[in-house]
Amino acid sequence: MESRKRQSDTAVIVPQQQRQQQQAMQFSNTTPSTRSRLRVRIKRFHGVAKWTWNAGSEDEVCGICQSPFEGVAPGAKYPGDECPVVFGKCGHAFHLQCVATWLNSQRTTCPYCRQEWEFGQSSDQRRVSEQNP
Amino acid sequence: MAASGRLNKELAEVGKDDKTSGVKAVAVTPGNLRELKGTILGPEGTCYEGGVFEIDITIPKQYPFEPPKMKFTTKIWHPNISSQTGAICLDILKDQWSPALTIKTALLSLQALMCSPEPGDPQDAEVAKMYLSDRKKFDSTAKFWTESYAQPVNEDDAITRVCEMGFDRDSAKAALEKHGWDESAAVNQLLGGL
Ligand SMILES: [Zn+2]
Ligand SMILES: [Zn+2]
Repeated sequence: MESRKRQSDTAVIVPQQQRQQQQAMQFSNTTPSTRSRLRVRIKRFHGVAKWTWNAGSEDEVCGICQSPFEGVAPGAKYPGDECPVVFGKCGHAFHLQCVATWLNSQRTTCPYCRQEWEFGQSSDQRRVSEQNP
Repeated sequence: MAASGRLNKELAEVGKDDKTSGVKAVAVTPGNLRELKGTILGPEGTCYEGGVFEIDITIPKQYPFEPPKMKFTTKIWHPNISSQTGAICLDILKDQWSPALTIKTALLSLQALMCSPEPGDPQDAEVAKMYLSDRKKFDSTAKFWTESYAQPVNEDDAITRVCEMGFDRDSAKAALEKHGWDESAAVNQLLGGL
């Protein structure tokens, strides 16, 4: 399985030194005579991040609702933490809402392999264990 | 909306004329995703070869957490399908259903059941008894039923035949559709309406 990190908390920040060099390059052309270096203080930083669940490839869908894991399960309003992806001990993944509805209908097995369903690690726990083996 | 998202997707997939799989399902009335008509082409090399079998499909509100309800509307001679009502005995349409299955995979399972009957778990005891005790007779009966009941209707020919009895094309077509292309039932209705 392709390993995939959830990246919402890892926005890329350009290191201090490198940033100053870039700024110096940009501004030195506009004020060639004065030789004074322009300093820019960054007051605000608007990070943009992309995230995916750590569950199979990006175009993989939940076997219950057939929506992508990044999408919204029926009954949930927003994707992401509102609509988490869970793994069974058997290794199969579904939206939490989807597998919960299945288990609430007097069934106890994984929709894919029909083994007794037991909740395994969540995607978040997986991420941690993959990063710190 | 979200729940019918899956159904919409499924119908787009299973609604195509798929010559390779030989199964298909379309909405009976456009826009109503809960009442479908499925068709299975009789598998090659079986007593059902050459037949076209129609299945009534009802999608329950709880789908995909509950299985689709399926029933043969074409008469068929098979140990696991009632020769009287078309009711089907197939575990995945009952307690072995899984939401990972789809309308298409269910129809494919039915097609597989047509290839390999399970007389040990019969829906029609009489048919199962014949299957186990007199396989030759079973085969010829099943073939006879396929030839008698499961022949694809040439809709144009049927409309023309009814028109020849003095009805206009539109009402002939409407009456035939209403009566599942049963010509005498359609004619009776048209005569009654005079
Ligand atoms: Zn889902
Ligand atoms: Zn499983």
